[in-house]
Amino acid sequence: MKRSRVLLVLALVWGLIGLDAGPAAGMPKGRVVVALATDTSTMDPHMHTERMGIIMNQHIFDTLLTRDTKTYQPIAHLAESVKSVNPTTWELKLRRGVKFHNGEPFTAESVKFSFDRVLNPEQKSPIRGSFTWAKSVDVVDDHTVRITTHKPYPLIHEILTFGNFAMVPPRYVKEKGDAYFAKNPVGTGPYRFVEWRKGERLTVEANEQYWKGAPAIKTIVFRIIPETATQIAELLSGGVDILRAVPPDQISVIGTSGVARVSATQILRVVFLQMDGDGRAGKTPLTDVRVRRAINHAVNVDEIIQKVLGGLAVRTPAGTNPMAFGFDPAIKPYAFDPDRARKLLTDAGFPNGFEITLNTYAGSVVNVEQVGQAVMGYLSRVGIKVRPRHFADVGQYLATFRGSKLDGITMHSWGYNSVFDSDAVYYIHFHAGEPYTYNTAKEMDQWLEEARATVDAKKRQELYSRFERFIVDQAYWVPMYAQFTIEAVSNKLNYEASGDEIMRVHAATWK
Amino acid sequence: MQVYILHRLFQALFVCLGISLITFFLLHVVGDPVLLLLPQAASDADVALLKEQLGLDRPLAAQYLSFLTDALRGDFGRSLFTQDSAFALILERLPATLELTLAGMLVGLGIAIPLGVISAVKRGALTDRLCTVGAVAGQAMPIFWLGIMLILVFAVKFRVLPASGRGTLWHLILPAVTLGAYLAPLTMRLTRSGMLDVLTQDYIRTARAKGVRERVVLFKHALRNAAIPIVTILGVQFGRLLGGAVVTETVFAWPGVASLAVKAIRTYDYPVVQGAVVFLALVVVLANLLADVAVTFLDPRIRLGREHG
Repeated sequence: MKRSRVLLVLALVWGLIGLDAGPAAGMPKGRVVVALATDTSTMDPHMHTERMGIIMNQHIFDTLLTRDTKTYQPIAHLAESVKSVNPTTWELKLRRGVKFHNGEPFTAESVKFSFDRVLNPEQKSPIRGSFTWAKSVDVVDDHTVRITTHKPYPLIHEILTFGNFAMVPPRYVKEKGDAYFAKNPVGTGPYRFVEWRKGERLTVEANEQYWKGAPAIKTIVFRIIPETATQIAELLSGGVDILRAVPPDQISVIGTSGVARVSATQILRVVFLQMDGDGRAGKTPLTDVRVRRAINHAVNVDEIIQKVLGGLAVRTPAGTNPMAFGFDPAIKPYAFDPDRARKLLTDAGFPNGFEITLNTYAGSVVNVEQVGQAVMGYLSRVGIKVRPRHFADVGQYLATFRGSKLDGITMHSWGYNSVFDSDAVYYIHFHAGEPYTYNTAKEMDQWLEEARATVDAKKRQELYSRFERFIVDQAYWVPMYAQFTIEAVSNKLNYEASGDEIMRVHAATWK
Repeated sequence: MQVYILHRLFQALFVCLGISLITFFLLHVVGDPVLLLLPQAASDADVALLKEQLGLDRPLAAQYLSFLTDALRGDFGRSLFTQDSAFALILERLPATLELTLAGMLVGLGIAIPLGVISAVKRGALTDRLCTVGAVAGQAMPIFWLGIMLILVFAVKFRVLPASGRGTLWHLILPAVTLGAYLAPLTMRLTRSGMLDVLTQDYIRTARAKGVRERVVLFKHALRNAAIPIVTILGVQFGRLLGGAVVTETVFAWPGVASLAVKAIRTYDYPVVQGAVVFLALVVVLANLLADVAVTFLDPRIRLGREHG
């Protein structure tokens, strides 16, 4: 009898322990630490343009549309639909029952307030320039908004996924003011703000009332660790669970560690050699199309992808990313043919080659030194002697670029501003008068303007196909490849890197 | 003594002025923060507008004069990126840098002085040679490399210490050892040469002849006199330590003024760079002043010499 009582008590205690073992299934639990190299300058999504800031913001805030992580197409989010009423008017139907973290309801007023705030010149929002297509935003009813544009604007769906253009709470922002909001953000997102120690860490906690359902992870801490080697050490020692921008030479170290794995995927950023075909920075042999074609034949892009990047890149025949609207798969790149290159150079009057500058810059291009050296090697084989000019500082590079002082060939890259559309890469590099344009032609301006001015997708694709055939024929660029993002993640988590480089830690789950 | 201190503080003002001038013009000549504040696709008109709004389109001399007049009122301006007061940002991060620097100094002295004394006492012996080799290796070792190695061994391999960040005393150990190892070699060699010089003096021989215990001879009589050049050089070394803190804070993600300055330099956040550089210069000047005052307490001849003009 005594023994059976003891067993019964033990069973009861065991049951109680089991009940108290942790959160019930479906409740957020645990803590994930994400390492980022730099902090954001502000928690106000309308007042910065930093990718790290966007990554943090989209855990606290929501945008009107978001991106499907498989197709990268814009899909419904806070706006359930975005429909064209006429070429210059769009109607948005908003999701019902959504609240900001402070209880304020998300309505059409929130949308109008967010638009007006960004467009207000006195706000000095750095993203204002991306929204000047909007003429007015009108509240139809609590859950319907109409946006009128100055001209037909085909990129509206893309722009409404823009990570900086989060919906902010009008009442809270008006009551507390911008300075307070910048340090105490309130959004509708899957996580609530807890604490921000600038330069050190941001802590957020699961919003269990999130309209899409509570996230799996209870607490996310974004830790600022500037040094990549330290980030990797923290990952391997268990101090950090996810990090981005893993150098390719560390992939095997992480992969064989037993505690973490690498997650790599293609992203929007494209790398290309831009040639100064107009002679904007000074006349060079590059103003001759035969020379530019020769350079295209001289560089073995496929070999660079395989040998320098370990296969972690995708060829871009006409410069635009295959993930972006406007990509034409029928267009083929120049074949690697050094003999043809030498013949073209001879025809152009350079049988012994010539000397030219190759500009490169630090920051966005993975393994930039190695890729640059490979390009120099290929060009020297056909007689083109390269003077390398490396900008260690991005600011200086951009100033030189925009200041018409970037002579010769430039290894440039472009991230599309997270807009999956070829307009985002071509317009600013080929339309006359744009800051990065070193190659112009009247017909290119015409095609680019037309493609921007119509919402007819079929017509736009035709225009981009024509444009791409032209720029390949004129060899203004040596289109190279689309980069990969390489992130590392703890084996405890289900999480994968995303092609738009937005780390969706809110969507991660425990294994 | 008070006159001397006031004189030195007055000199410090001119040092800070000179440093602020050099920093200002170097920054403005080298880069432009506007392009980093806006999206890369920003139009030339947007760039020009922001430049005007920030007052960066004015002549450099006018910009410097504005900075100077504001700085004299304690206003170093606002960060171009966060809009926070540059002074407030620096003050917020200063305790972390002071904590790291002082801890580094303690570790450095804790390694250097005992080894310097032992090395001097055992001059020519294996111990002395090992200490000298160690000091040379320490001086040649890049501080960046040492920091990463310590992380790999103690945080990754043995998991006994955290790899980075600031929080508990455990977080302080690796960065303090890194910084201390940066300071120790030169200090050790100075201690050794100072001790060798002092140990040959008559009063040391007299003390030993009187039967004074060797520990008292070494630490009360010899080291106290050998400390004079060490304390002087520590003032200079403090500046070097702050330079070491730049790398240490970056490697260990230590949230101090040095890492704030590095980030501000990379982004041309002029007000923060100006403020941080001037502040750190002031700290170095004050450290040197403290060292000089400490020396007068160690060496009465200096104090008396000053008092008699």
